[in-house]
Amino acid sequence: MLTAKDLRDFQKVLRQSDHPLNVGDAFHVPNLHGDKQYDMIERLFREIESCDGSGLYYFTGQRGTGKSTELRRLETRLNGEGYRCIRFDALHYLNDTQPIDAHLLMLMVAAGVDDWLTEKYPEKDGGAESLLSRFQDWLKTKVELEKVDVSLGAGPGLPSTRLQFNLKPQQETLSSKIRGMSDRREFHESIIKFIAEMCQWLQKREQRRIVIVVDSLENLRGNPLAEQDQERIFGSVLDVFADHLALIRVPDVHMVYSVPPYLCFLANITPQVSWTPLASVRVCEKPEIARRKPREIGLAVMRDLLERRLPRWREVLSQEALDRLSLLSGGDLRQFIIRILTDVFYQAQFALERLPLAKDDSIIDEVAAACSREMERLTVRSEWPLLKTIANENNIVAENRSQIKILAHLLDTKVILNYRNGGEWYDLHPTLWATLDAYTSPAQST
Amino acid sequence: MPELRFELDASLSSDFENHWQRLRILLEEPQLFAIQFVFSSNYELHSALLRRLQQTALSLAVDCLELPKTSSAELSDTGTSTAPSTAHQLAEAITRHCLARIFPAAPPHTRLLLLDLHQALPVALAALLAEPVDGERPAILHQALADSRALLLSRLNERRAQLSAFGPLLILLPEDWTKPAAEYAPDLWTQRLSSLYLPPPIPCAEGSPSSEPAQGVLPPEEAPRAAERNILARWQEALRSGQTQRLPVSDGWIAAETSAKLGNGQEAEDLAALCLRLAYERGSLREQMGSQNILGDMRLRRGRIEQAREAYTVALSIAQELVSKEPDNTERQRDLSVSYDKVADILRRSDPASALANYQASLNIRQDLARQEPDNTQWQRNLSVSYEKVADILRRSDPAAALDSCQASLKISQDLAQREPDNTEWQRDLSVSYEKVADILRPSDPAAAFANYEASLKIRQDLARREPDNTEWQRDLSVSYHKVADILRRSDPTAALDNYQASLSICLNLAQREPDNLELQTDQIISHVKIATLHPTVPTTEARAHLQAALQLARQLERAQLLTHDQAVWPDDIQRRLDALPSA
Repeated sequence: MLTAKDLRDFQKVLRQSDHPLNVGDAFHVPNLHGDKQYDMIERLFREIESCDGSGLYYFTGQRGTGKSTELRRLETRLNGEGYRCIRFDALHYLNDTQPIDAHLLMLMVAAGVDDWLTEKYPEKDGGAESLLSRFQDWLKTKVELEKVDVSLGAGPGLPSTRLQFNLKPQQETLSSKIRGMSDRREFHESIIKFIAEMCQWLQKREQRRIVIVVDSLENLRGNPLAEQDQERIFGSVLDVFADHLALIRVPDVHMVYSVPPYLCFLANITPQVSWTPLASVRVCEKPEIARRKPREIGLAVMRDLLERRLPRWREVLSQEALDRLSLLSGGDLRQFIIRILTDVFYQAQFALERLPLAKDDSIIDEVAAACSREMERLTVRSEWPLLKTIANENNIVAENRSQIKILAHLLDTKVILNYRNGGEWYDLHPTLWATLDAYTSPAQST
Repeated sequence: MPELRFELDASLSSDFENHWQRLRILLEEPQLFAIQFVFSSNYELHSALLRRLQQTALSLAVDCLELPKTSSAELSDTGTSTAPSTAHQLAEAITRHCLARIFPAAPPHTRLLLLDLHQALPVALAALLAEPVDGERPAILHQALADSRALLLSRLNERRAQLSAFGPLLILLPEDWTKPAAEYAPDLWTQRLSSLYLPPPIPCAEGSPSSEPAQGVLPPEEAPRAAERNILARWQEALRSGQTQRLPVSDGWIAAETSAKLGNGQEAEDLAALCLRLAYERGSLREQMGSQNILGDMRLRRGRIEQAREAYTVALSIAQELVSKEPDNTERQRDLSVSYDKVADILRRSDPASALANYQASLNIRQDLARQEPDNTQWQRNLSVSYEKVADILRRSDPAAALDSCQASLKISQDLAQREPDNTEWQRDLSVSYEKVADILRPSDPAAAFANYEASLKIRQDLARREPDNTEWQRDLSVSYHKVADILRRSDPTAALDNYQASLSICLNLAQREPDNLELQTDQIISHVKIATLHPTVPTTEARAHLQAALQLARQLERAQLLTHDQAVWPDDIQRRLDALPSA
């Protein structure tokens, strides 16, 4: 028999669930996003494997879909198959509210690789020491960028190395310095050369091909106080990731960038680059098969997700109730675990006599109603015609540039969810289905 | 670590307790990073929750960093050599200040990070805006407020990895900031716990009737006497004929007030304007000041707040000039204190920091006057009122100082009541003082609050017995019963029900005598809803009857467009409560 304290302890477990997982972690669910042809990491790995040269790969997905966890899985997979993966978080070096360009991006990549090598190979040999010193001296002379001690104030998730390039606070100055250079092309070539040399040293040392994974670039967004800033960010994202692909490649190195999901609305880049989107867990069938029909495989994954955290969950919830909550989340993992389940477990401590809660228990109804109310607050009426179209067509087609800004926000706030079963498709968050189904847009009414 | 208290506090409504229980979880595991957004348009509930959180954090020895708290003296922290004067500069300055506090050079010891971007931010911004440009201040602050919220959210989102070194992060925002919060801080948003939405300030759920009139609403008035009607008739004639030579301006003030009592708002304002014209024609500064005040009063009655403020501000400048001419004249001093109060009354909601400065200026004058003539009971009473007004403002930002101020007022009221036990006005003042002390104590010390409410109730029972026909005493008594019931609501619902019913019964009696009295009707609505929500003490059938009665009244007021902005949600709220009742 569960007690209120048990339920409070369960909530703590759920609240602590929000961090990237490694393969083998107790909470890690294999094949969360599907196996075989639906396993996007396996697909990405195969693409890397089949390419001998300098591959370029874009990885994307909405917040909280498990991108960082999946990139860790890619890292494990690569390292186990004869590759050496250098993975780092771009936001340790860049501000997410400032535009970037290809030069700055590659400067950041070079800094990231240098920091990675410094941390992993404190005792260098074979000329690595002089290579890194040369690179650091060059940066100091060229753009006055130096390493600083970051161990003070560093917290969980930050690199453990004490010295790291202090690019972030100087990003704006660096950008303008680079823009003002008369030999920008030469500068860029030098950076690429340094990255290539560092990777060559590592490749020689480990006898493995090198893959660089740059995480978190999907978080680039505008400065809230600058009206035109979102446009500048869009412009810079397009410039870097669509128009100047040659500038972000490194010879003989596979480059994996996590990029904003809205990039595919800005430009048709899929013919030129490998595009790997990570979607929400498919708790519903594909629209072509049956619109918004629960999908047993997806629901089973969500059950597994909870089972690994709380093996006793069946004492709190009936399976039907859990499935209802899974559908309510639309397969959005963070909402499912941190909010929906936490809320239900919180309220369940006051209804011990009703455990396990049935599908139609008032607690489940209340949590569902609260989710709907909040989701409605994340939209404004003027967005409803667009949302209605997305709901009807399960696709996103931006009519103009200003609509992309709206779409970027709607994807950010999970009002629109992205799914993938073979092809990509979109739908509204399930808590909005009833409201938008009942809504008739002015265009439709005429 | 001391054990957390799980029992519910009987002093506050269930909404408060429900929300408090959700926030309390953050303190249970202060080492765990968590993000909690709280959206609110309910000042009282918001303040009470924060106070409880701070007190509990203190008792559990959880380091709590509260932001933004700043003052002009702290400008150096913002890296600004001169005071910011534009909205953008203000937003940048406050953001720099907050980030410097949150992310100091040394590793943080803070556990709970409390970011009040709803109520504390405007106060901090006003403190930073040291050199306001006349007339532009509200616009600058308004823009700076929106910019600061956006910028802070965005910067915190950028530093989310560093934030995870802290414990819980609590962000308080206005009710309509859900979408902006999600857009400016998308990563914090996806990582958040379920947001809390404090219910709007519906007296049906949280409030109580007040023994004071609401801001901008004047107290119920006696019907004009014959002499006043005669004066009004003369001034109406003057308005028509333009013959004003022999008319004393002070009579014009009476005429304007009488016209207003009779419901002729436009005529009353015209009469006040006529008084002002005469005062300028006659070159009397004192009459100009008095006429500006009357004009302000008449505009305020008609809801023309900005225009009222203009008149009061001019009156204040004249009062200052008069005092500078006769610094020892106590009447001029008194006039100046009244002017400070009138300006402050207008500002108290839109600009509490400036309102406080004006109330404080008034208080200083009244302290001087009371010191000069300790036996002058009017000076003493004025001083007591000033202490209460200062307390009203501080209650939100500094409850301890508010309590000190209220207790100073109570001491004066006790002294006056003791000097003249038969003076019913002093007795009534004393009952109000007890009530105000109780209001402040209620969230932190319900037992002491209860004792003060009871003391107030006792006096009011006595006054109502002495003058059963005095509607003001009766209404005060109804308010007292209601407040006592609010306190007893959780600990002794049966006693609470008795008190609510006593309160409602008085309201119903008074409403028969004064069917058009709006305040009595809203009091009834509140009482009905509070009784209805006392389940299971009140059975469902009775609860339904009370809610139906409340709904009928609320709909009537809605149709007559007599509900204020805050009250506009009442009918739907009551309907929702009715719908939620189990079917018969």
